[in-house]
Amino acid sequence: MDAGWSPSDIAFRDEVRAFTRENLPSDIRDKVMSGRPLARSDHMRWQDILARKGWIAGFWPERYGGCDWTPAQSYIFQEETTYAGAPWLLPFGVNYVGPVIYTYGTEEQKARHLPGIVSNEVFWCQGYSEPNAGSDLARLSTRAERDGDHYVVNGSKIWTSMAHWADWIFALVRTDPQVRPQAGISFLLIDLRSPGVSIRPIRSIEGAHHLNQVFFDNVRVPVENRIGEENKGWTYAKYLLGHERVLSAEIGKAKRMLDRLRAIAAERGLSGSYRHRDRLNQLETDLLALEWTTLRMLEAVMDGSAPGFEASVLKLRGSTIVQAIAEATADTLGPEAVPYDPSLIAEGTNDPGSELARHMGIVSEFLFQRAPTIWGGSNEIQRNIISKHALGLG
Amino acid sequence: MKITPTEEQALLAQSVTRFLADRYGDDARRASEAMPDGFDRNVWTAIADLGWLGAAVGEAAGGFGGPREMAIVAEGVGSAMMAEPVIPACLALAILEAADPQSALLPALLGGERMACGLVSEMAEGLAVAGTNGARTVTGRFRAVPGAAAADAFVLALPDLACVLDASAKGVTVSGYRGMDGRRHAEISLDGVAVSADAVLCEGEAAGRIAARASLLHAMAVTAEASGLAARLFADTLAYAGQREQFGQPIGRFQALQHRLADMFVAVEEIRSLALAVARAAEDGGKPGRAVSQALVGAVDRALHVAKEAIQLHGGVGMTEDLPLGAGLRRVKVLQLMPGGAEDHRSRLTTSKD
Repeated sequence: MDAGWSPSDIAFRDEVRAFTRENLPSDIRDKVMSGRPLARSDHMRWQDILARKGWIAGFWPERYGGCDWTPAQSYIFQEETTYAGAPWLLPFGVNYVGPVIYTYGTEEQKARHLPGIVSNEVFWCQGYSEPNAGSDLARLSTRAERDGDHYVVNGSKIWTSMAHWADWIFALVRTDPQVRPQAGISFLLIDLRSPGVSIRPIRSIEGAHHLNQVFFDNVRVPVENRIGEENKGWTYAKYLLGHERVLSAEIGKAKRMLDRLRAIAAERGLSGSYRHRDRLNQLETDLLALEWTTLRMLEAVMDGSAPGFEASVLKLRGSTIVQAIAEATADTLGPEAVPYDPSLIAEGTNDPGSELARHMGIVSEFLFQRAPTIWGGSNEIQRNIISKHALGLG
Repeated sequence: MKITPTEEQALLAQSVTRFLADRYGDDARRASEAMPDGFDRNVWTAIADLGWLGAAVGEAAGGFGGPREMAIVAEGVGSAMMAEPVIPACLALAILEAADPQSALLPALLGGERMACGLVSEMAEGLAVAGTNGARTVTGRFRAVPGAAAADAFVLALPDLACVLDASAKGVTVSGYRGMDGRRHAEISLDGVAVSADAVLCEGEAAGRIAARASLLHAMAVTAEASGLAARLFADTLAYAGQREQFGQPIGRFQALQHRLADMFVAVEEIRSLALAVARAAEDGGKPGRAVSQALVGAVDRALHVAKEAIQLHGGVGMTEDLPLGAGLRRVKVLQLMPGGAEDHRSRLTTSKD
């Protein structure tokens, strides 16, 4: 089944495929393929390779260092690289804050921040959720009070992925507590080396450290680091959340994980079992439906007829399917999934990996994949969005 | 990409929708079901005049379309739960066009004066073709073919033989019955039916290609019908959730129902996607295989979920024949259980080694 890609899209696909095959370091690929946690240096090594090729921010306008990729090209790039075992291209700079800066930022902000993203030199993280503001994000309470030409920031952000690796954080802060929640939020860029910033690691259920809580204790942030207008941050945040969800279908990753599920079933002599075939078949069917829904939405985005809630559909289904594949893979390991010691697959380990380590990677991935249905607007929030915006139910 | 329908296809979809809205409400469906043939000959003539029966037939042979056009018609059939055997007739014409575009039967079928059902091997049990060129016989049983009791002929696309059998030929037994979906089905028994030389459309490899294409079109039609049906049942349910008040407000305000409606919406979108995938495969001259079977099974499973949720969310009134929800559930259940339906494809997927 073929969507009928144009010859130029097919040529681009072949180019990305060949580039990834020739340039993706095999130790990184091996880690990704087996589901073991990646180190900062693994991400950076691959992203440096992409930066040299000019492919870090391909979908950005050329004048900011991008390639003006069409949505189809962005989709092809993500699917081809992830299917081939490339690490997830960390989205915080490229996909999240970058487009906010070039859409709403000043010329000075663009000049200061965009080049570091395109060259992969500045590592960003996202400061949205707070301990008391998760799904109800607009209730966030991290305060930013004006003091001359600075804001003084107090409060904390939580579930901050990779904050311990980051140089900068973009954060939603409360600048007006008197108005309705959405109307008193501003969008600040904060240097994590500022005095008063501290970071507490949060260990997640698979035993790895990628989540953090970030504390701000009288952190002074120059007013020039505010994006757009004061108290208009919610507008910019919503723009960003739209960007985040477009990438959430993860078809290439799901295909890669299905390949591994088939391989493990074959190794264990289960390929012909009814349990395996029935489950594999269900997962392949769900993925087929997701892939063609993505293609339909992609074409709608390109011809300008996209209704606006498509990203919620993709996030809802994409996260569920990847989660289900991860669990089916762990189940297929059977008793071999019982040995699990996170320290044996710690992120710094880049040896080719024993069978035991590969199996632990699968267990790690099963546990980690409980997160996607929660992050990026939980799936319950996505259903709220669909019922409100697609179905018109108040 | 070739995803968005062409302008002509969009116009066809509009005209199908308009005809069904004007002419084919639930009362019309019930009236059709109650007729002796299980469908309304006047409706049949009307849709023949609109060109629906030739939806899959190219312009050179007197039709106006191809696979996407047939899928559009099948979607319409699904949304109105039409009793008329449009899909078997489209399939017969598609086989005939591919095997013998000069056939004298073709214009009579296109115009609706005569009626034929297309048959493919996955609809059959105990199928056997015996004998050699010029002296072939066909044996087999087709247990549930809508409209077959009223058919003048059957157009078969088997792996190495495409042929036309007269419904009154020796050895052909057709017994009609009312199906769960309210349609008039028939069991066709072929008991060593002689295939005369002029009944053979083609044989060997050419027949194999035609059979593969016919199977793909059949799967496409089932998937598209499920798509139209699920979209209709969802639209009815969404409208009801906005009107029906309990506890002083429309029930669509309750989050417990909103999330179920959101999931139904996603299911309907996914069915559309699966139907598109199969139609694209048919357009590209693809073969039936794993992905096509998965698309069919995925679409019917989701449509079944939507149909059951539609009844549940309507509550008591959903259980009554005053609403078309029961008809929807009964139809989708037939799409699941009929020979060549979702369960057959599922069992192929879980047992075959490909």
